[in-house]
Amino acid sequence: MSQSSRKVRIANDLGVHLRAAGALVQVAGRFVAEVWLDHNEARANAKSIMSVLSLAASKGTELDIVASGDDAQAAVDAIVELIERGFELS
Amino acid sequence: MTGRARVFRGIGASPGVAIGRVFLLDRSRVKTPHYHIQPDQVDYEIERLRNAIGASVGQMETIRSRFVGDGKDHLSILEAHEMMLRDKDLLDETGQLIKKELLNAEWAVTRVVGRLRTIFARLSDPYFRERQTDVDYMGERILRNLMGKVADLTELSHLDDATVIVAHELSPVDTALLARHRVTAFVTEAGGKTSHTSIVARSMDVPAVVGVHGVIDAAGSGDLVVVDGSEGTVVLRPSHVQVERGHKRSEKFRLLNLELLEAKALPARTVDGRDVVVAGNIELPNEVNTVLSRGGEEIGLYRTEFMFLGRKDPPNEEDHYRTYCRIFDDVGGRRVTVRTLDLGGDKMFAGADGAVNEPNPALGLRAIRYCLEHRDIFEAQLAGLLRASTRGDLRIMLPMVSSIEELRRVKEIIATVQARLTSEAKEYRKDVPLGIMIEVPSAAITADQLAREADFFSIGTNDLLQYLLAVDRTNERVDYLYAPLHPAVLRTLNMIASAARTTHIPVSVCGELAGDLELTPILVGLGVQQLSMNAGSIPKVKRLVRELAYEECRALLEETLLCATHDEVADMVRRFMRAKVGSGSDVLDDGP
Repeated sequence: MSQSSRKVRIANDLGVHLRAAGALVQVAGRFVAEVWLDHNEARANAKSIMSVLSLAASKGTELDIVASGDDAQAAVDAIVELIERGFELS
Repeated sequence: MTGRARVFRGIGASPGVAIGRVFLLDRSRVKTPHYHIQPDQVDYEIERLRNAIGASVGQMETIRSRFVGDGKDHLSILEAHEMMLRDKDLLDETGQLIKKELLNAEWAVTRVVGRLRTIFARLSDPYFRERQTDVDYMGERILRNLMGKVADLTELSHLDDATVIVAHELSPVDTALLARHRVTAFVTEAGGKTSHTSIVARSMDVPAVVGVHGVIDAAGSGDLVVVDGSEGTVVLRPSHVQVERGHKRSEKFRLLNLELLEAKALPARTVDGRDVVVAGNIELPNEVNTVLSRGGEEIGLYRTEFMFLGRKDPPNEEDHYRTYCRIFDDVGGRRVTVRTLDLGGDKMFAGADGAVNEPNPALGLRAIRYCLEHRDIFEAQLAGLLRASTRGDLRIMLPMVSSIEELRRVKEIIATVQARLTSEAKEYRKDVPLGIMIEVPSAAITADQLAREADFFSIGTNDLLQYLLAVDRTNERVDYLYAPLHPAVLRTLNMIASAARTTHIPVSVCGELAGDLELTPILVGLGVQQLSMNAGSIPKVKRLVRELAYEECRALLEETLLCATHDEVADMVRRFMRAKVGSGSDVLDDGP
């Protein structure tokens, strides 16, 4: 069981809006690890679109991507990459 | 009340004016039964829940596959709803309620949706707060499936072209289905500017007015209606005069929109491929949207004086910080060039010490001079700026610099402020570009030296012309001497631009000349990277730049530099415009 985490800043104009949240959940769903998005006190399950949206992460928000499980490192990398790409699925 | 015209006011959610016939979509909420179940019914209820969610997902897939539109926005909303329905947390949480509290499936769904709704309702960001409606639609669909009352809008297939949909609120599914028909406008009783109806209407480019209370009761299908999404008004059963006015406004809007869309969509790139950033000047944070809607690509000059005026004490660091953050929130990642306080002498905030009547305020203690004398006021602004730099793409610009020592002193002050911020554990960016306005002849003449220590130049043409020509433009006895195309002005501009080019620092022009179409070819020829102007001039300047060739502008500039008088230059520019620009004359005639 491995743990991994990384901080990333939301740079796209609309923040983690509907489409972005959808893309994020899709990417998180590819991994067996549990993936969380931490922001201040709040924590969202990256595999639940409702949970992700309720973080209300607007532009400039810093998120801590935290994963726990066999492919934790890969999950964190994939999500950070997605965010840095402005949520365009490759 | 039938037959009588009625005017409703709402929120204009998508601009434009349309005239059409009402199609009334009256969709009242389903009433759901709430009851406790027996422990042995838990599995059955959970199975019902699974089936209802499964059916909902299936319906969404069908709707999505049938939806052939070009609106990417609808699709993503539909996809997001599908994902919400598939959300495992939703199923788990609802299932737990059924199991632990022995609620029937409808009740459990209502409870979970209610809880999610509350979470979204508490959010301060209006976009995310409005997502409670997404949660509602999803809950509504599951409930309808649980109760066998699915209502998708198949009857919409026979809508004709001039249809105005009047509804309580449209679901994204409704709007997606509607998108295939040429709906002319939307009117809803619910919703704000970020509701789905609003978003979709804007993406479909049809007018919408939302938050129109009482319209459903008053409207009947087939009624004539004028929807003005710019004013936010809805006229039911309009008079001839009202219809006529609607047609006129509709046409006016269409023409304006064409021009703006063109301006927004296309970059200001010359025919030979040189980009000029066309930016907007603002005085108040809420002007950002006007600049963006006219196609402005950056905020090239934010005059901060308004923050200082009409108040007893100068703004403190927090005031500055919050104001700049607000601009960054609105500007969508675009660069913002903020000019530090440019007051003094004649104009000053109430209660400022040293607000004396100077005999010659234009040559007095103002702008950077004033700031260097009032370190506390200046440091508060710099600290607010540095802190806000973590929130967006910021450049700091100093007004009225007349010697390199002033720039050096500011750098020392910035270092002091940075040290303080570090000690207070406040975040800031270390690499914020620090540039200067070139608006005093002494700065223009020493531009080559200033360029080595400034990160960018912005030419403030209003003051530069006044100082260069020694003319007070508001003095009618000498205003004939105010000549933007005076050879001295051109030579000075050329000197500044050359210094910037040699040192590889960017140069902008802000001030009125930037928006003056007669000057555009000259400024393009100078190789200026950015033109910053009032929002109203942006579309026309962008359009003109797209018709010019940089190399030809460069040649024009070289020629004009040899002229002896303003009139010679003006003639040369006019001939150039007629020869090179298709719409040259009319571009000039109707001015900015």
